[in-house]
Amino acid sequence: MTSYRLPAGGRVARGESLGFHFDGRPYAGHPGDTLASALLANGVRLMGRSFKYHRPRGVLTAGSAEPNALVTIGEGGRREPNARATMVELSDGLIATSQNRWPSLALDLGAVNGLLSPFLAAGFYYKTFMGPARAWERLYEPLIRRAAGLGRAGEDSDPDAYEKTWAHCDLLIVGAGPAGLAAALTAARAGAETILVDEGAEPGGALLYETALIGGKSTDETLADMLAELAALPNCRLLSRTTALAWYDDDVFAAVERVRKAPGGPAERLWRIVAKRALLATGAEERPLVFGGNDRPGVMLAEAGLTYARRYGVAVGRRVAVFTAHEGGLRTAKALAASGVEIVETLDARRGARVVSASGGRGLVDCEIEDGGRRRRLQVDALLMSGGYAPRIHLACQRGGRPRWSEAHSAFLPPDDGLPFVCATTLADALDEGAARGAALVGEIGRKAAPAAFGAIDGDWTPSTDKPLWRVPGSRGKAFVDFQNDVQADDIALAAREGYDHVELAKRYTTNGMATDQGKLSNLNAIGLLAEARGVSPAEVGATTFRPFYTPVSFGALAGPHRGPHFQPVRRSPLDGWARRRGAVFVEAGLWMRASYFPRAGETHWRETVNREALAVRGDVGLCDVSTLGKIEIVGPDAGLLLDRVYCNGFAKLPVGRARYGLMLREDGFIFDDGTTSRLDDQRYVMTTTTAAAADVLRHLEFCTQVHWPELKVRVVSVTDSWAQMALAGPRSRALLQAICDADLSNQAFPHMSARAVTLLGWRVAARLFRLSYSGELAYEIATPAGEGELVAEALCAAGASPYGLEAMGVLRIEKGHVTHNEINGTVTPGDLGMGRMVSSTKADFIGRRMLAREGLQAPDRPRLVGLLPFAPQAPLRAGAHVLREGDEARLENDQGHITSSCYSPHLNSHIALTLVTRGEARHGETVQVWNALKNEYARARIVAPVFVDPAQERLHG
Amino acid sequence: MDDVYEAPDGGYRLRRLAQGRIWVAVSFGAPIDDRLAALTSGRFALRDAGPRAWLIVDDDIRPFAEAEKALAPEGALVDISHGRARYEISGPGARAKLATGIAVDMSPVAFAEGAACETMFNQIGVHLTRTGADRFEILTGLSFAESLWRELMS
Repeated sequence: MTSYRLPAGGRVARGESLGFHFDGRPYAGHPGDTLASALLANGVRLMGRSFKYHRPRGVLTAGSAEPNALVTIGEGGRREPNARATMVELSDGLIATSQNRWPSLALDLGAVNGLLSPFLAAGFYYKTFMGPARAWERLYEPLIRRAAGLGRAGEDSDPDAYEKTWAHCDLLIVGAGPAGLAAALTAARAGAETILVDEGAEPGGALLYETALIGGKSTDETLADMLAELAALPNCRLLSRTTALAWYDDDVFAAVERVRKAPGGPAERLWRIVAKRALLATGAEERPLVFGGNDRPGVMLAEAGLTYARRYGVAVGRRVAVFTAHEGGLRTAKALAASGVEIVETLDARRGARVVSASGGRGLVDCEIEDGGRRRRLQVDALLMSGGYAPRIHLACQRGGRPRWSEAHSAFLPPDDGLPFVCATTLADALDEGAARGAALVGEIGRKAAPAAFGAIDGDWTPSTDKPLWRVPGSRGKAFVDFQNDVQADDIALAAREGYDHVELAKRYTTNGMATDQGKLSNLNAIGLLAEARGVSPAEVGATTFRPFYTPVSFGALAGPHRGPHFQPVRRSPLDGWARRRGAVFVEAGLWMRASYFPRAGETHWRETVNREALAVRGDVGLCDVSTLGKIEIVGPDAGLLLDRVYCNGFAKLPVGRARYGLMLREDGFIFDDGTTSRLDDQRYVMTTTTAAAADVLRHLEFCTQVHWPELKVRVVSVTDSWAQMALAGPRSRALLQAICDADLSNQAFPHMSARAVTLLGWRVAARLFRLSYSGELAYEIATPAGEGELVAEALCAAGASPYGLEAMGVLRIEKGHVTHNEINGTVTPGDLGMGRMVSSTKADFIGRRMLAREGLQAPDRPRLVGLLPFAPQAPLRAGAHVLREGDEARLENDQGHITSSCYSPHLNSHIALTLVTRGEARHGETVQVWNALKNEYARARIVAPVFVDPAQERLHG
Repeated sequence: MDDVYEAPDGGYRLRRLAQGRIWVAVSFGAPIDDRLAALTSGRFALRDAGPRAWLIVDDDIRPFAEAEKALAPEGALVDISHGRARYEISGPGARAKLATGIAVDMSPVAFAEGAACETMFNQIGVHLTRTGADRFEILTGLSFAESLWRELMS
């Protein structure tokens, strides 16, 4: 393999060799190389195939905006598609493969798309919708689907760890080029907490390949000095390999750091940085020129050519031409020649010398030049183009500010924000502006800083205001604007002709700027071409909306440690140990793990267990953990008043020592949550909420007390975790409880709905006792301090209480027609659930009162809660199944309602269900069909009252 | 769940503390700071927990009823003693570890000794207090105890 490595120069460690593979072939490079520089050094120019036309492509840039050289690196769980070869740091044993080609990069059958290009112009996909209708579904869509996508995602589990962290600073500087470093020195010397982030493997930005002298010293030397000083300052943090992704409100930034250093360490780290002030020193992006064949492997940006020479010691070709439309390009050509690269010709478009086409199948061979009216061919193996520079304004525009067109710069500048952006056209400016902004920004937060000063610059850039050349006149062949999405200059013109000439429409019509590089190299040229097509200034065309992220981010970085079983926290009840010791099977209920049922030896099916548990409760006594329900203490002189306003029924006059079931409505009149609130003292209530709605209810109460009625003297405090709470239910519950409780629990002394503090186990446990029943049996809810719950639970079990779980609790409550959030689904009113009489007509006001009175919420044909009994008792009725009149076809118009909760009742030996049925309260006894749409099964059932066991509630009041 | 965890690189140590007595003190509007100060004596016994709310974390304190009477009618108490897991994290790497989940600025200047706040460690609600140059106490609901311990481990 002939080497393109220059005899000397570059920042790579020439003494050390690293082996890697590309498309199965072995190559060697040096530490400090990127995959791109190492491939170029080995004479490899063909690195990929373009998305649509499968054109042979090589590397275009030396940095982050690379659109062409997208490869897949790694294998198995570490497989990463669409990696930019220019950003992949070479490591020993790296395995990389090219993408989007079959069977090989050199011979890709997909290239036939190039022949079909007249049919694949911009907008072709939309035109396939125009008919015939069946052709789209049968032919076009499957073909396009197969062709769509770039790269193939891995399917193995990623073995790497990812971290996330927050950081705070006085000044965040994005970009460690000359401007950023100057700002960092200024701020850090003044004692400001400074964070400097840079995308590159090495900090320095343009200083890594700049040729000018600073105070007589080379940029290498200057850079080394700057970095040494920053490293010694404890208040300055320099994050390399860290891409700033987004600038959010309140000066919060996101950045992702490519860590991957120590084995076992994280692959990436997501930074969320809260900065008091921020400075963007993000430099400028070079603009490609638009001419025929400008995508051939070997055509690159001029600064990229210089970077490969000076930073990596690689010549991009043996016969290199430079084609520029601005002054800066000439400087780059000179610097390149000085680095030992053979520059055969420099073409200045301003003087009429133009490249109108570049040719060469899998690599540039020659180009056609038009010069003063004459055409000639020039043999080259690399063509470096430069259309000018545009500042990288992305982060500055992400919060919605519109960028401003600058005629002088022929580019868009950030919205007029003032200090936070450095836009410099010379090295001297960059250093001075960086230092000045750094000083000004830390000055704003009270730190006096002297701007860092640097020596005079020798060989600096010459600022000039050259008119932009959006398209090379007379160019022949496909002239590319967006390389990654294969958008040509003709496509932009087509979009304008077809009426899609607004910049946002042209973007979607052509897909310009919509690839993974988000148009970093293409947006400005497209705007320029659109402006020319419309005959207006780019200022009038404007730019498309900038959005986070600046570059693609892996899901791993965003997830951090929260993946797999650790995706979200797990909450465990204080009785968790008790349940586990008794062999409970657990189920996820939100964040909680709840005991679902307690199988005993010999039981073969969960329903067997659940039936036994339910029978034990109604026949004897059972114990269930209800600690997960939300508990909120409401304290203060106005506690009762608050409750009166948030519940639809009355609570202010609830006597001390009593509990009451309450319905909380939303402002629109629908039920929000239900629960039981007890008055323990004059100014102390405790409210229970459903498990799922606990956080929402607390938030709602906080909103009420902080925003609606801040004048009320009341506070709410969550005590969910402080109390273990268990339900003891069944005919023997009183007997068991009385044995461990000193208080008189007779029916007279402790009637149904009592709530009082008691002591258990002979003064040992200070508990709260509530005579409530969810099961419909004689029952109590016992709240003990969390740490003492197991003691009490064990004592009750030792006395004969059978543990029962969530499933049996469900059976019992469905048998009694007690509702949960299956019924309270956000679309029901109290009247719908048969609780219309709970709504107070005497209270002055409560949340939901007005909207509940709307005729739609009071209409007689609303779905109402009923029960269903199947004709075939062993036929399951599934929640979600729809109710139809006998004989009606299963159509939306015939829908009578749907099942909200269902179970098998061991007391009725039948499946039963709670159901919302139109005018249900007037249809008891009616025979209906129950249609399970998922299985297309029908069952006949009878509408009954929504209570299946003990309708007279005799067991409750014993 | 062990009582002590040492981070492998030696950056910080995690220790489970005894729950002790933890009360929430609230004010209904009028300032009760003086009365709260009179109630508590221990260092870090009175901890800010949001607008007009405090945590009283102090084993050596008078009975609940008596304390509440001292605050009435402008304030009240809620006993949450059993409901919190209490951890101490200490060492030069303690702050950086906390920063992996907590968005609050915990620099010694912005969050001095005695400073406290209700915040979140990723998705878990916590109460944080700085109790030393390189030491913090972190409380969370008892149901989150295992999850938070696991998140705080390396």
